[in-house]
Amino acid sequence: MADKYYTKNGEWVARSGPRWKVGLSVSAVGDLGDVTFVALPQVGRAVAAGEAVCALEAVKAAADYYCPVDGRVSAVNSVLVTEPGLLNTSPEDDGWLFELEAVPGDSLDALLDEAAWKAWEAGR
Amino acid sequence: MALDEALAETVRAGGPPFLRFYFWEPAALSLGRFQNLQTGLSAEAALVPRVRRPTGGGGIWHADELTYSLGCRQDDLNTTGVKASFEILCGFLVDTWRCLGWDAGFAKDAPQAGELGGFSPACFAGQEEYDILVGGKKLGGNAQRRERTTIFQHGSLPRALDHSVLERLFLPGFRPDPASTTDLSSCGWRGTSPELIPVLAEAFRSRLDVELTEVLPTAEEHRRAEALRQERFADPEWTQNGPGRLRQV
Repeated sequence: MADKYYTKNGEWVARSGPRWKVGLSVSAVGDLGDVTFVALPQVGRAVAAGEAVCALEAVKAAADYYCPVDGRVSAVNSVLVTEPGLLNTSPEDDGWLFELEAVPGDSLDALLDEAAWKAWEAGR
Repeated sequence: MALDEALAETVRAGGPPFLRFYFWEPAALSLGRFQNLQTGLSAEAALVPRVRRPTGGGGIWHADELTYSLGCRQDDLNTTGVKASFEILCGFLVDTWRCLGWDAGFAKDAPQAGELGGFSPACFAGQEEYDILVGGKKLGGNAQRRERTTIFQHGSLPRALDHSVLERLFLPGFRPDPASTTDLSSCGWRGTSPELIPVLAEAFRSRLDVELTEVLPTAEEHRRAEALRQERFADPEWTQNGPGRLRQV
């Protein structure tokens, strides 16, 4: 099993110890532009793959983002509430959105691993 | 605004894309989907008719203007990109202004554009890559709401901006600068706002290579709009706080 997977919408999910962090790809955030507001999910919320779980506002667009896998929210990156621009400067590291526990392995099957993601991005 | 949302729901449910034109009576201040009302707005801004848009962006005072809304599926545009979709969906505006003989283009292509990016509590005060400039000045504003498969876009086309009103609604430092904003009248449009609708519709049809059929919202869409109006858009708490100000969804 790989450690990081992507959706074609630009969400990623990456192993972080026993849990999984979720965020947005460099290209997804770059395309959205300067992020000015982030709405995060409630800690403890059970989420299903494909469920709208975050809302972002950039200068010209408000966009919903979706959970890439099934799971339960165990933590959120509350720094983004006061520093939404962190998503622009570090989308795949410090700008993670939330953390999931108990991600079933088979819910990763529909996602792209890093190599497949890079190939898919290159072909766009 | 409620009817816009009802039409967007139709698209979400698999219905056809739409392009709608409308006017405001009475004049009103619209606020971006997650706009924080603690920043940049005056005390007087809380006393005028207000509504919160489903779309992003800053506040707009809608008085003497033509407004459009459009909804489509991302598949209709053959792109999932935000910037690419703005270029496609705002292209008909650039075409229209150029047809009228105006020096129009996207801010990203304009050498005289100011600093691009950065949120402004007043939509017309900021400049973004896909804002449209005429003679180097921003004309109107456009903003989107994006879901997984659909795009909803609003656009404001002011016929005559009244900067004295904008000065009362927005605090110093956040007001649109008359030197960098313009309106249809200043650009040379001598007709009424309704007379502009067929010109814009033809440019839209031509740019996107689509057939436009003039229809009215269905009775069901009107019923849904009324329900949305009561639940959301006419609710002062919704207008004040928006859907995401609790920071958690």
